[in-house]
Amino acid sequence: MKQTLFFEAGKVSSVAQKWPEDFIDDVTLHTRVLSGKSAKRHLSILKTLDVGAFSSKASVHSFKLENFGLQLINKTNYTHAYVISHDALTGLKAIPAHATGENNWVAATWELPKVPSLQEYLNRVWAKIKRIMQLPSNWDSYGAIQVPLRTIARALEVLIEAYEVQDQMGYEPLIPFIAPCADGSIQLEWENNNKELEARVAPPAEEKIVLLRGSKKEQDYQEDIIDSPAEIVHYLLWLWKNE
Amino acid sequence: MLPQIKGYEEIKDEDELYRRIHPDQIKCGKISSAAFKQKTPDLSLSIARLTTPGKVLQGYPRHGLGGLIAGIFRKEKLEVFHAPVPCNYAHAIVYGKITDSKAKRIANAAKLICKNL
Repeated sequence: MKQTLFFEAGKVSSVAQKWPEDFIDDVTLHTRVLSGKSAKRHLSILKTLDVGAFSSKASVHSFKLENFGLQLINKTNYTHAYVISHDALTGLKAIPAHATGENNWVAATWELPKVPSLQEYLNRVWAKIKRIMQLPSNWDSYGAIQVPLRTIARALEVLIEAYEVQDQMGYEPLIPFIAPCADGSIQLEWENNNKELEARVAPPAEEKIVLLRGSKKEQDYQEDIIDSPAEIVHYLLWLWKNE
Repeated sequence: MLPQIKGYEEIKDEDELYRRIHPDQIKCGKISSAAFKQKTPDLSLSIARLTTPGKVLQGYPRHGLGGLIAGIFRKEKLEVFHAPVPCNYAHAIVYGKITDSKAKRIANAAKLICKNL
């Protein structure tokens, strides 16, 4: 279950003065366990701030949360704590909290934006893609074929989808490692929190994207095939999900 | 495809095999699984005890050299056999469909012996 609290924008104006380009629209609380009472997120625009979660015991021992706190930290470690009183909250009146009563202060740790724009993101991978485009036949010395331009274009579609979903979720988009395959495929590889995701964009004759996901530790990999670059979204969500 | 003659030398599970790795398939000093994904079911390698890294990389100064023991491929239900060709007696073939998950496990087990010579 996910609960949402909405702060009126004006209520956080004292924070906004410190970071004039940023703006808090709302805060989302999840019912998952918040370890260490803080959640670290990288956000470009503070539209949705995930401040973590509560213990599963909350459903049994819930009580009202009197004050809600945000702790914002910038790159120079400047910390600004902002307490929002219960009266200032709109939406829900009561919030399930941990039975110890210690969770009436929930601190969200937030770093100033480091999120690249789509153009910056693509710039970071463009040099490699351009190099792959220029590979001649037999580039691997074992008879590899050239990577077709259509495959390059499709890989770019996947990259854009990957950027957009991560950006929308408030994550700093992960830059994938990109490699050519001998059959004319392009492979994109992401890693996050001990998880690995590979997307192999096959050449036009196959018109498919083979996904491989698993954990580094277990070496147990699951293969899936998708037809559209847009379907990568579900797999990136998996990559970011804390388990 | 170069002519292949099967069965010249027995390849034991512990035998090391070399494969040239294109620099774009090397990720932070490790070999990407992309290096083992190809359309045809025969992957060319060289038997280490019958050659040298220098011979394998001769003429390919930018390539790296990957090393794997034969047992890794057999564990993935792939055949490994000696298949000498006129220009390379050490030539070996790994035969069978290398799926993406097999390629991943093979890459994880591979070691990058040198980036280039």
